[in-house]
Amino acid sequence: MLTSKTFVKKTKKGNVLKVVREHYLRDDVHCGVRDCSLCKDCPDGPSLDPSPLTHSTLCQYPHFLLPDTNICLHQIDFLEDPSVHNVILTQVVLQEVRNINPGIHRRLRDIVSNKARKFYVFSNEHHKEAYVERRENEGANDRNDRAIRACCQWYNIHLAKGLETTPPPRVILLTNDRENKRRASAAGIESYTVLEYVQSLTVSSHLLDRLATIADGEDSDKSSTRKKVYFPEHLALSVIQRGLKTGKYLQGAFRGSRENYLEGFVSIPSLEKWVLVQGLENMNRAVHDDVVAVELFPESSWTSPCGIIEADLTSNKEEEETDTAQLPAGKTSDPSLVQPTGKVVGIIKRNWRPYCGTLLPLQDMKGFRHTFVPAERRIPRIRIETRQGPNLLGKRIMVSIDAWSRLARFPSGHFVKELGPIGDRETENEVLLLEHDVPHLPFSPAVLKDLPQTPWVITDEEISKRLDLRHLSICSVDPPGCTDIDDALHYRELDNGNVEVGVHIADVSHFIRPKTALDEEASNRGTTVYLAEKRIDMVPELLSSNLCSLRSGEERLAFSVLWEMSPDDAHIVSTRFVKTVIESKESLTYAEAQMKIDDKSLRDDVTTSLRGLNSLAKILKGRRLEAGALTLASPEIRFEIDSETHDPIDLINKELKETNSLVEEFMLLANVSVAEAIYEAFPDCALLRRHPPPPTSNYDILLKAAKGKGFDLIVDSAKSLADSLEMARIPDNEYFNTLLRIMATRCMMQAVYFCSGSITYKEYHHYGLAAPIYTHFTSPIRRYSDIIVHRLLAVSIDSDVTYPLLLDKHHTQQLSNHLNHRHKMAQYAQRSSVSLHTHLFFKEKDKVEDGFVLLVRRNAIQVIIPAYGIEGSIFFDEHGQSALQYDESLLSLTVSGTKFCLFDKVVVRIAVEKKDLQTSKLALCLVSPVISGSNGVESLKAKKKKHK
Amino acid sequence: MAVTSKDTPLTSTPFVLPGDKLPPNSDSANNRTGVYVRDGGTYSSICGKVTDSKSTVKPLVPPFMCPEKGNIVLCRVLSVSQISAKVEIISVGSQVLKEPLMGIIRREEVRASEKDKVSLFQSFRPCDIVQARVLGLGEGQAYVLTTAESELGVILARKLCHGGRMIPVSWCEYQCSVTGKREKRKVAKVINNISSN
Amino acid sequence: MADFEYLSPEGLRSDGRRPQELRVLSCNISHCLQADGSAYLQQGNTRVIATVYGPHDVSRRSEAQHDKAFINCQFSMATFSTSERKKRPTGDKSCLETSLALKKTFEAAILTDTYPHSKIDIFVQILQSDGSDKAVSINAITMALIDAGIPMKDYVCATSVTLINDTPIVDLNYFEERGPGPELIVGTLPKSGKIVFLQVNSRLHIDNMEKVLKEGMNGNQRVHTILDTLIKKHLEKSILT
Repeated sequence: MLTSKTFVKKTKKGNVLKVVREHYLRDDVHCGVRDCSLCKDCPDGPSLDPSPLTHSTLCQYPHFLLPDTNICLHQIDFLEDPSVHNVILTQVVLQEVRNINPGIHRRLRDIVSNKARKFYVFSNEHHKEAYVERRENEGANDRNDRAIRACCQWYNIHLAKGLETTPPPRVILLTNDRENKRRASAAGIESYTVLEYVQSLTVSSHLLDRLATIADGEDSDKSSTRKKVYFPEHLALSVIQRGLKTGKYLQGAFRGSRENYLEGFVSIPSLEKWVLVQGLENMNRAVHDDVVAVELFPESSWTSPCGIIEADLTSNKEEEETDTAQLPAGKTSDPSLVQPTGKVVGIIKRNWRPYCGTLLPLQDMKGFRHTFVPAERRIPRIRIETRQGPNLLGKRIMVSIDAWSRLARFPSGHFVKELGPIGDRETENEVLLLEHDVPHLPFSPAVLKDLPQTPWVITDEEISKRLDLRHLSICSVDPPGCTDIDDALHYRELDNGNVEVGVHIADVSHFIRPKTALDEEASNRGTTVYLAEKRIDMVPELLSSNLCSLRSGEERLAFSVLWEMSPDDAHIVSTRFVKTVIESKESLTYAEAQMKIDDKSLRDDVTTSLRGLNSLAKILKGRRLEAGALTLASPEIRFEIDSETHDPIDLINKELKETNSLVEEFMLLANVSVAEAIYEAFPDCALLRRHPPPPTSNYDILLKAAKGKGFDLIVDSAKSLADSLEMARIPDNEYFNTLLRIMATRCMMQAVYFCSGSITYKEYHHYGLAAPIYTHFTSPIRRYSDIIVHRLLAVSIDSDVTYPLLLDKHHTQQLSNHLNHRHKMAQYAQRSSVSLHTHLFFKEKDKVEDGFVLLVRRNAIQVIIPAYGIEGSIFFDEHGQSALQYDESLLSLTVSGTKFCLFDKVVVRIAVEKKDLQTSKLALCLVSPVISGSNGVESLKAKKKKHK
Repeated sequence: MAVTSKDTPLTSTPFVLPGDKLPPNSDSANNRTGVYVRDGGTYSSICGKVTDSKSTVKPLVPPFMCPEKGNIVLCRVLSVSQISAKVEIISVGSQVLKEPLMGIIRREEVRASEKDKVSLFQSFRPCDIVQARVLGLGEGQAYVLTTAESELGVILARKLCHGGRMIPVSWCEYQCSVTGKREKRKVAKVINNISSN
Repeated sequence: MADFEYLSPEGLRSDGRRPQELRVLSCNISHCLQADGSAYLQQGNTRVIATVYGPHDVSRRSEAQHDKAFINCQFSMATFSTSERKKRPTGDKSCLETSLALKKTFEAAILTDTYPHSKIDIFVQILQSDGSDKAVSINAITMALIDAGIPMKDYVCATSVTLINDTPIVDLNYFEERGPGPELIVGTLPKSGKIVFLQVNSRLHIDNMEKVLKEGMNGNQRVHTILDTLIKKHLEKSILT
């Protein structure tokens, strides 16, 4: 099996290192073609047709395509098209793609794993005959190109010998590199550029649109003489790496600003504050999420974000570029606001993905060139070429970026697919799910196969393994309309004077077993996403709304936490975790539960339980607040959805009742108890959740805002913050305190999942809840993290067995990173959905409401409307800049004599502004106080703000 | 027990290697060299050739010999005291040792008769080459040897002062070939084949 | 790179082997004439030299055992064996640990009761390290012991195994050893299938244990076949000369 050729590579770098590496060349690598007489034993079965069909006029003989690295990187959409078959991917190409862009590598792998696509990966690097060794003075890229050509040559010879079909198929090299092409033809290999090849195809002409537009070398040379150079050149990667080492450059992720297209930030792990990058030239073609290298300016020229909200409205035609948009120089007087400032010198890694958006309407839609406006405001506009212009107007489409040359104001890209008409709820939903990377396709048959058989009953055997609690008066309390009930409670007095409290959580891990397709799907989805009018389930409906849902009157499997507590001070005497069978007696809504507690005439079991729980919950809450837990606020709204049309018919601000906090307290208690238990059992691989304390600089704005109203907030600890927030109340403005809390919430860090072995115990702290250790246990139907925690806990009480990945520290950490991402995205998607529905709700309406100033910018104020929980900005006309006076220390803006301070009450009109089909926006306009002159309704632009 | 194809008796190959199965044989494996018994089967423990007669494995590499009880050994006298003579064993049977082993001849084991009258100084002197039989292992690291047979005793002696050869003249005397001086020894009666058992 | 591709979906490892393939194994037996037995074994780029002295007299009284031979084993790594040149003191903890483990292994394989009151010295040194050091050492010592003619129950063959994406991978090189998977080193007496050496580095889940162990034992069978042929070749040659 092994061919004997081994060699040793020795490299030296820095201090002398001896590197010994073996490289085996084999003679058993299959060519991948069916019926090949020379090759034997293909591991997955050969995937290529012996005589592939041809549709090309250029090469009218059967052929295989062999793309080079750049084709794979840039024309992935072409390769992904189902009409492309019989493609050979060489290992060298895949490796290069993997190093440059793992995302595309994954997509290529997905194509390969789809047997119908007939893609084959040829391991040329380990093939005895196709392997080429790097020559002296040969660059790595040149060597790889040569390796690709060697594969073509080998294939042509091999196919002629090994196949009986006449004529034997040939291999066509696809490359856009001129040099490579020249050498290929010199070696007798047919090679074409993708464009040549696709144009020659007699079928599937739609492929042309999917091609990325790459200016090849010659074109850009020509144009450089006449075209304006917009951007400085990026530094070479080697230069960047040297710079990173010496500290001259810093590496970080680029974050575009939503508010101002001329600003961006780079988050650098070693710096507490983000690095500000201002101006298109300094941003130097960095797109949101790219990993970039920045060079800091000298401290004297550091500045602060300009505070102007600005949207990119540059004209469509590049020629009439009037974009001289220069930012007002840092007018900062307040040194505390100054941020490190710098410029992007190079891109270390692009993180481009397909973007959803619309085409910018032109007078002449028949032309090829179009401008694409992404839905995500942080992404620049993209130029694309498509022949379907008129067709796509008014549609949501998906576009990929191909490149961004120095000579172009905008990146160039290509059309990927059409999603549907703008404004259509389905389409918009699709857009927001795609934009937030939420897996939302229906569950596959493989996943559904793992579901239990219906009708499903609990077997006696199962009951015998569990603690039977069916006799207890267990009830659940949830929001109205909730079908995935994952928790239920009970309370009973014990003979010794103590009480027993039980939290019963749906035993989802009983149904979702590790290593099943169902488990993998749930783990990939990570969380259920609640949109305004629908739910994207993490697990199939049979489980989420039926078998796992602890509905009243039905026997269900549960994982229970049972505490023995003293009734007076809620002191926990003992804690017990056990798998149980329960039967919930009643499923209540928060309001119903509240009514039961308040109705003095009721004396039934469930009601007394609720009363007992309620009094314990109050003690627990008091104790928690004592320890420094924060009560934070964020405006939450709910839609009344018309059951027929699925249109929102009313907006309701979510109301908090005592019973909400009742359930919450016990869930928190259960989570903390479980966290302690699994940490004890698995100190290295428990999945926990932590909430890091925010750096004090995060509080700057909050402190300033409070000070403006004469309150001093103390932020050294959660406890002092909670206390001082409690003190800050204005008698005639009840909403003030809530506003402060909303602002405080926005200062916070994200709570994250992590693996207990990855950091020290001290860092486990949950800041918001003031708990030393915390996890998620109580919602396994809608969170995958809880399923893992269930499994860990089940193992620790010996009622389940472990499996390898559960105890793998690295895997747990990877999983928690994945879940963190999914959760964040789910939150964003939820917010976008709310905003979409707010939009739909106000479509035909025109409301005047009270609002409060939440934030003051240089040219705008941001207003929150408590009645609907929505936020928006009100802009003031820019040409009247003289009339705008921004006071940074007081955070106030004076517009033509009217001064806006934080927390000021304003009256605004909410309406949907419809300029044209493409851009309809939710607009706020100021009704009172009246600003003379500058704020005609037309000049106001408003938008919904998405906030962290 | 995992039975592989290699577990079959290897008669065709010229060598056996450790772990190879040998043809069954009624002899107890304890009496044979180079083999051991596991689960009722006999296996080779060294690499060598199977001898036909007793199906023992004759080592290809001359093995290290451990003197066993009853072996005849040759040793050199190192020192003599009133109660014992210290010797180093230099060969076992016909096999020369790579490294000498320690041996001891006690006063009582010098000769079979009149044991109480033995004087060690009149039996051995340093540098004498003595033929002896192994009695076993003593408490120390030394093998306990005996010369209490007529065939055992000093077989080669030299005069210490000039190294001249000495010739046995009686059962208890050597005579120097140069000076003619007589010295007392426990002289071995040299016979060609001494049974080793 | 964090997620280095240790095993491609095509079933090839980073160095071109398939998961269950061993590296090229070659051996030079009896190269050292002073020693009673010696072997220089090369498994891929891992090179090991093993020498055996004895059995001979014990050097210290305390070493003597009345019913069996005393086995002394010393494992060491040459200063130039790893990518970074490093002075290695003789009392190096990990070396002592390995020495002890090897000693126990061969106590189980050598018929020690043949040589009571005597001592067998085993010296093994890594000349170049490219993964599976211990396993290769065991194989080398086996060859040296056979060369020395010391009676053993059987060969002792060892391989290292890890688990990448649930696929067991045999005979690890340095990169794979450094990889994320748990490493299991198993030494067996291949004829009887008895385990004489077992070491697991980092956690290996019990469910995977069986799978990994089985692959390790299969690997040992293959090592055995190779060692067997090598020894026979050597013997034929030495008899001819």
